[in-house]
Amino acid sequence: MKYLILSNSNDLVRVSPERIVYVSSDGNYSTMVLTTAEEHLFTINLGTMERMIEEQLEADARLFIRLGKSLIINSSYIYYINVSRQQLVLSDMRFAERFTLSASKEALKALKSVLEDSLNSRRTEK
Amino acid sequence: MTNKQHTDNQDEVYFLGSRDDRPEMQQSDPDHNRRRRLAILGIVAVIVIALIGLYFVLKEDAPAYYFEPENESVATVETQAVDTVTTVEPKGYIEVQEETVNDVPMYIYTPHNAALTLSVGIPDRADSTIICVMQAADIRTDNKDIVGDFVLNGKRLSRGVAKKGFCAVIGDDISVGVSEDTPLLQKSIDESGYFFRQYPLVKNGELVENNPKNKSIRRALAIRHDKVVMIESRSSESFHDFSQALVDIGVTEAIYLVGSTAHGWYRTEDGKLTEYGTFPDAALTSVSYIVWRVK
Repeated sequence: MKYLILSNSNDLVRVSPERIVYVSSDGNYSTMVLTTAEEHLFTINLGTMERMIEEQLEADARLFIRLGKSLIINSSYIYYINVSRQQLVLSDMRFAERFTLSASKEALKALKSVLEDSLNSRRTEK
Repeated sequence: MTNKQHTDNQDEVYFLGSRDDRPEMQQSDPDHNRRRRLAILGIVAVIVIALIGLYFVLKEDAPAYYFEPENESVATVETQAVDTVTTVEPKGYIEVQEETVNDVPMYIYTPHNAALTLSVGIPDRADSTIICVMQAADIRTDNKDIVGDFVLNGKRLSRGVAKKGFCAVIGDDISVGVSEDTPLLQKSIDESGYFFRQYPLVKNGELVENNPKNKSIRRALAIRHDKVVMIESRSSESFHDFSQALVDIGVTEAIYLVGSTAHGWYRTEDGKLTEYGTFPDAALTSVSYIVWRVK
């Protein structure tokens, strides 16, 4: 199993991809939120975080979706998308709580299309 | 249910690791990059050969210009004079240092050759005379007005002492302190100065407690070693832990600046502009900033 290893000046986080629910960006800072709702803040921007995920997880990086400028989400946990309310809910039966995020309508529309397309391509492959 | 608010400006959506399919990712393909580097090297080689050829062609005509060195020396003197003037001009910039105390990692931003003013509304990022911008006063959620006393170039835009920390800029004097009733407020009005209020963090080298207990990225305008500096926590901290860290690194006076995702930027000595935070809502017309300009 591949692990993502990220470190600050003081601490290091080693985490398997399925424990990551999403990563949000706050300018030069990125906050990784885990399934347990634990948060880890890193002084890197989201682009750098994206590259680190791709380099360390290689093919497993496809588990994650870059959603607009400020989010990377774990595609396994997409539960609900409401474009008009600009709402995205990430959830899993193992979670103690849901994670409700807000994103632009355009980004959510695109995400919806990406998921619908992947469903269609799976149907075609059968 | 956990609620997180994020507003995306760009709407691109893709699976990580799938960027090979996208045009911009073709540039990071190793073969593509190698081919591109070879092409660039080829072009550079052609230019160098052409320049060498041109040099030898012109060299044959050199005798016709033998008597011009006198003029050239005049030109050189002029160039030196211009250079001398350039180096004398003070260059304003922000020096960034990292310090960690009691597990609180911080950035310390020290302005050099710069003067402090305030601004209401986002300053012009293209203005190279501005070397640092940080959000100053808080905004009321009910009427979107500035919280507390606020003076902009002698004009009083807001009243109130909800937060007892203050910063007054009168001429070249910058004062950071804690007081409900300071004469510097009236002085800033009388002398076309600047004044704003924020949470007090440190007074006379001692921690000042504040009510908010949440953790966030914290920023402060502080006096340390008799210099005005800005300090930012690199991790989410409570007011108490951040204020204690300021005391521990030798800050004598400090007030809060808007933290968390507040927007700002700074320029370092190499001219590099670093921007952070998220752009404030365009509807918020009363967002205020401290602005450091080259003197």
